[in-house]
Amino acid sequence: MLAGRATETGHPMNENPPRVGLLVTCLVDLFRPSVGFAAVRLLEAADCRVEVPRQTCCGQPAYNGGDEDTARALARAMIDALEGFDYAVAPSGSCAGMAVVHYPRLFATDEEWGPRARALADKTFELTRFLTDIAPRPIPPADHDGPVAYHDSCAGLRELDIRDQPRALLDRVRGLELRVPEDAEQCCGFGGTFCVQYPDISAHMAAAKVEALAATGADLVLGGDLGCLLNIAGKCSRDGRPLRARHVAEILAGMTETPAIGEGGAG
Amino acid sequence: MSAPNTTADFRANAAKAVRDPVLQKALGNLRSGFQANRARARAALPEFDALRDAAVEIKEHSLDHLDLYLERFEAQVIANGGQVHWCRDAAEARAAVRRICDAAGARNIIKGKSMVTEEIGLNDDLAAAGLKVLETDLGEYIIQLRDEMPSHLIAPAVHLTREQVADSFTENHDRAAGAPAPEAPDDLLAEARRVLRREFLDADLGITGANFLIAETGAAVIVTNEGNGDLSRLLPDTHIVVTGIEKVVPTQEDAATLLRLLARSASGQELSAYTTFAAGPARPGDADGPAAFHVVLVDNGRSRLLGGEFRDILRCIRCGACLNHCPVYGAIGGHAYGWVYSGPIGAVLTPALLGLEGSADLPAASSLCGRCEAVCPTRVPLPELLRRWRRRSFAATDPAASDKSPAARRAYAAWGWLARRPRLYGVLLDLAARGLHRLGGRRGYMARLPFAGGWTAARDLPAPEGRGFQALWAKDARARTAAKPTPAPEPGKRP
Amino acid sequence: MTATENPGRAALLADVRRALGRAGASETHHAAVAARLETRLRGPIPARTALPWDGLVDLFVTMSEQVGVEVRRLAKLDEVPGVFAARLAALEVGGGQVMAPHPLLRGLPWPGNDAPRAGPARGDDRAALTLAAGAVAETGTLIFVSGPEHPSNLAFLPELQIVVLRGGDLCATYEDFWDRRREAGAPTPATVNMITGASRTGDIEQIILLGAHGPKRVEILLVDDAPQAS
Repeated sequence: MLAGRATETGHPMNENPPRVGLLVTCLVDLFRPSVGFAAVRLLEAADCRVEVPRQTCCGQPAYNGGDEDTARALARAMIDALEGFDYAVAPSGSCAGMAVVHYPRLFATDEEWGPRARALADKTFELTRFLTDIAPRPIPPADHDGPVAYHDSCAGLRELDIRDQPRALLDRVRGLELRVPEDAEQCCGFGGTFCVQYPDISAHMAAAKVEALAATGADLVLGGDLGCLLNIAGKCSRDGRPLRARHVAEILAGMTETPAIGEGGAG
Repeated sequence: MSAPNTTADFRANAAKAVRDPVLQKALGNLRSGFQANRARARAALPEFDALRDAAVEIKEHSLDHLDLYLERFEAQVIANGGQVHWCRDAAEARAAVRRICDAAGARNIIKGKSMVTEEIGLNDDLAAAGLKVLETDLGEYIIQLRDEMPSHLIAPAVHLTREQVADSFTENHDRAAGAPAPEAPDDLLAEARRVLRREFLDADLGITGANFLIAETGAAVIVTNEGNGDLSRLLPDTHIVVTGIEKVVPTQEDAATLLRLLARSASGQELSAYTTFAAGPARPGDADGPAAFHVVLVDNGRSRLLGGEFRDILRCIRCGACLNHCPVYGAIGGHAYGWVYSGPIGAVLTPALLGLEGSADLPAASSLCGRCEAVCPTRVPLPELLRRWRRRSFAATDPAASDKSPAARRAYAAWGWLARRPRLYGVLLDLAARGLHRLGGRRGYMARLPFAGGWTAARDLPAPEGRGFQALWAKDARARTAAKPTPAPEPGKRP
Repeated sequence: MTATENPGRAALLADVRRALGRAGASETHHAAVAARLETRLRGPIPARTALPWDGLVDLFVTMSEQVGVEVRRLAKLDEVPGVFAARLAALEVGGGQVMAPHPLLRGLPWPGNDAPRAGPARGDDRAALTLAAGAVAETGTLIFVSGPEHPSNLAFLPELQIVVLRGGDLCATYEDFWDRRREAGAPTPATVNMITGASRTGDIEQIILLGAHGPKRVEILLVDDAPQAS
């Protein structure tokens, strides 16, 4: 049975809540819907009305692989799906970064899609940034007992300058103790298709990242990007480290009944 | 033709490198050293980012007027009493240097560190002509003894341990029979200093590179910490500067701005120990200095870059910050890149100078983390340049210019086909979630999975939760709308 | 070989111009270059250098010490020979001594025949007394200019370098130094060395070692009373 379904928060919404289109991200779609439901719960708690237009992928694997045609095709579909909302929000720095930074580049010289891409870019946000800087209402504080390490995704850090926002949100989680790993801003080695195309190098980077995270003494790693978290969790599992991983949305939404990433126990 | 390369062996080289404990130990020094030092230097200079903006402006202006500044630089060098040689490619540059050596009757040549001389394969060429060429930068000297390429832009021997250095000295230095070289770093340095000091004094010609060329005064700016570049210039009768054409900047003030960034970005020093403005031969009456001064200007593909989509790479001032912060370089070191230039700059420059055939792995082997761009003093957009190479690789018909196997290309094409079809994609994704969830069983992960060997070789693959998110959302939405009457859509808003 | 004998020259320049999308250089381009060379625009100047002279001296001393260079302040130039001898004794540096053949150093009250040999350094010289042409407070940098009275190799061959720096020659920035030389109408010298600390290398396991090829130790005698460099 799947746990972590979104529910109504029970407080009265204002008359005209902003309409948010959720950019699910294919990794959340395939691997961990809990993250999507946690994101919805958080957005609703922040006084937004969330819808999930049918979508596939933001196109980043194609874009980073040099296939601009496919990237544009997928970008057009995503723009089409999301542009009618007040905001588009993604529980991922790299997918949000794709829409914010790279969609305008893909259509820089396109008279029709250029303006549409730029318009979407202006109202697309990564989840923690949206909840901290844009949403009408702060989310209610959550609880978590114990030491936690936060892993910033490279795209979130360097394309969207997301650093303070997740920490500001975690600061309000009662009982949570944030630990900082050494070389905190070093890439974990996921990099989308990089991790399967250059597995030796990726595994080496993952090993270094996991070593640094484990050395903080935290028993839980949180992050804003599922790709990084799958990579980190998978490495911890293979190495037999007790470190678990979750998306930060799960903690913020108080939805930790589900097993952590790669943890068994689900039926 | 440039110096030989092993870029086509990148994957094998990288695999070897990550498993090489000696190399890994040496590379570990990079993080605590260069990274920490640069951060400290940057924190100590509030004007750092403003200087980067000014540096971009200087380089862009210089490149936009490169022909005029090169001409002005040449006029000044000649007015100072020197000579300028214009070389379109590596062969012309090597020939120019040989001509100068012949005319000077030079037999013993000493060299300061110069990446462009490695690029054009100068040392081998001079050695083949029977001339003795000795590298004097300690790192370059060590790798010359070992017949290796430099593995870093500014620290060519960063991949070596003291034991390896001692071994090289034991093999190559004259010493009391049987006595091995000491291993303590300061003893090693003392030995190298003694050996090289004799060579400095015996040399009849010195070759250095240049970090910048100043059009205003005809000066070549030579930056070192050891002072070997200066000894190479001052002691012999002839000084040759070999340099890429993109190094020229207008004024001494422009050079000062760039110099403020160079050492801080490279090693965290405020300024390198020796920053020298070499403007021609000794003037009449000067107490010392070379009698003859030559500048060999090398194009070797740079003008082609100037006119194309990789022009921004010409802003590079060879500080090495991108290497020092790159997790890929940090994992595999410089030799795995297979040529003179490594790290992010190498991943862009190598295909540009050698061609994409055989070097396509270099721009592809990156997670695009963006750290390089973040630390680059001249804001070279390295991730974007890497993507541009990937576009060319994707479009290439020659398999040697592609970073993906035909099977991988087919898999990507299939995925792209599917991702354009949302309904089918959604159905298959939901099926995959169910299937993989079952494969994960009670453990919640898979240690092995067909076609996922790249992932599972070193990591477990966490199992999906069991359904696609959109499938669940749709199910949930149907349940919700079944329970309540559907509200009429408001005018102007989507239902 | 003069400019016109260079066979590759015209072709290389043509390649550059073609890359820039033009056949030649227009009036605008020439004007832009001329203006740039004329104006000599400065980039951002670190605010730490915006100090009155006393502050600059303090900054210079701090930055010098940061790179391991001791600065001794002397009231008068005449004190130099005594301090020079004392430093050599304290550091136990024997062997050949050499100094720049500059009238300011030659004219110092050297006891008896104890003046260091004046001229370029030789391979066996162990200590040099040099005269800085300037210094930059921003980074604790010494500046030497080649000429008949200052062999450049003095700053490189001997292991110990003791530098006489006249207070009036201290500048806030590199740019100030270049301006002073321009204002004085000084021609471009063959070699200007900007030196910050002793010779060093990190090429063995990233460990910083001194005395790579140049001096192992640099010390400064900052003299308050001497006239500025002409």
